[in-house]
Amino acid sequence: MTYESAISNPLAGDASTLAGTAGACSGMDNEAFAGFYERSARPLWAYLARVSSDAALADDLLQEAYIRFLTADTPRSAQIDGEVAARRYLFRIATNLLRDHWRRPRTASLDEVPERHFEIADSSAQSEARAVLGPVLLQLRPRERQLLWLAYAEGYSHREIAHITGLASASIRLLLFRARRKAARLLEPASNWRSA
Amino acid sequence: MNLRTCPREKELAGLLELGHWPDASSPDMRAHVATCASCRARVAVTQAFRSERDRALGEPRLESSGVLWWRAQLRRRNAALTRLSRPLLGAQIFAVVLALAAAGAYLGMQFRQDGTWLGDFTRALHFTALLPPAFQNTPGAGMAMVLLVAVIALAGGVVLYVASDR
Repeated sequence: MTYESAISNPLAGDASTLAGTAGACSGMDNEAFAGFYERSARPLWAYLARVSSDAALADDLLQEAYIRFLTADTPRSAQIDGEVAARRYLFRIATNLLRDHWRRPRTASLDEVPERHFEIADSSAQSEARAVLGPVLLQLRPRERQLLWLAYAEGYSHREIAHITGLASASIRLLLFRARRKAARLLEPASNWRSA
Repeated sequence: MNLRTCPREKELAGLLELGHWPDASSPDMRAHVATCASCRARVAVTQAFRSERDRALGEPRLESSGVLWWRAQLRRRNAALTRLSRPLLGAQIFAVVLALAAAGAYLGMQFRQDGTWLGDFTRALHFTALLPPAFQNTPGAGMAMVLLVAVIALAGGVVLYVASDR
């Protein structure tokens, strides 16, 4: 027997042998994962697409986030709290992937990334995303979009946002306050125009 | 920076969270939001992000969950193989280093004893017999054969290692 045969072969299609090895995160089997994916993939894609302003990047990062989610060792909180925690953990993975993507060229911190780095070449899919996103959101920095999306689109608490982004819980309130004020200021002309 | 927010903002956040704003909220609350800048900002931002989220939810063309599942299993398997093969690679490196050290020690020992040992070695193994008769008495032919055999052996070893690694 070779040492390779000691590891289950996913291409052999033996689901029973995979049940023990796969779905390390949350102890999910194939069917449970399919349900979880169905419920969580679209909100996660929306988060990635709107924060990055790049639909193609969101597609790639979404897949990578789920694969990492499935191959990662389960955090204890995700085992105890079930799907809510699993979803939060998934957002955390996606946030880290986004940060890694932004860091890759040269910069050390998301806040230090120059704004022009996030300007994207005009492919048709990207233009479409840009048109939907609206000029207001594009004027926000990625970190601001990230915090505002998690707080107001996903409805996460400050503590949960801190867990997802890796920022200190105490600083979330201030960062979110500033971001909201800026967003509201940018939104104001648009809402005045609509109401006129 | 003044971080004080409106005392009614929590109540408003609850209404927004439950989707009760503005239709299912009290007239009192609606009147308050109309006059409170902080609450108005919260409503504007929440509604903008929620509607953006709703729009975005319909956009992606998602990969099948089964494909992601199998890709994750393949990655897990490859990671497990890498983990398992790490000690084997260490053992291989150790064996090569040990063999080279032994060969070096042997050669050093032979050189110290007698410089002509290599000539005797090629003669003893009759390497020149592999050459055509016309070249058998050429000076250095035995040494050339030793080098040739050594190169063939080394290349064979490398090819075998690479092939087994695949």
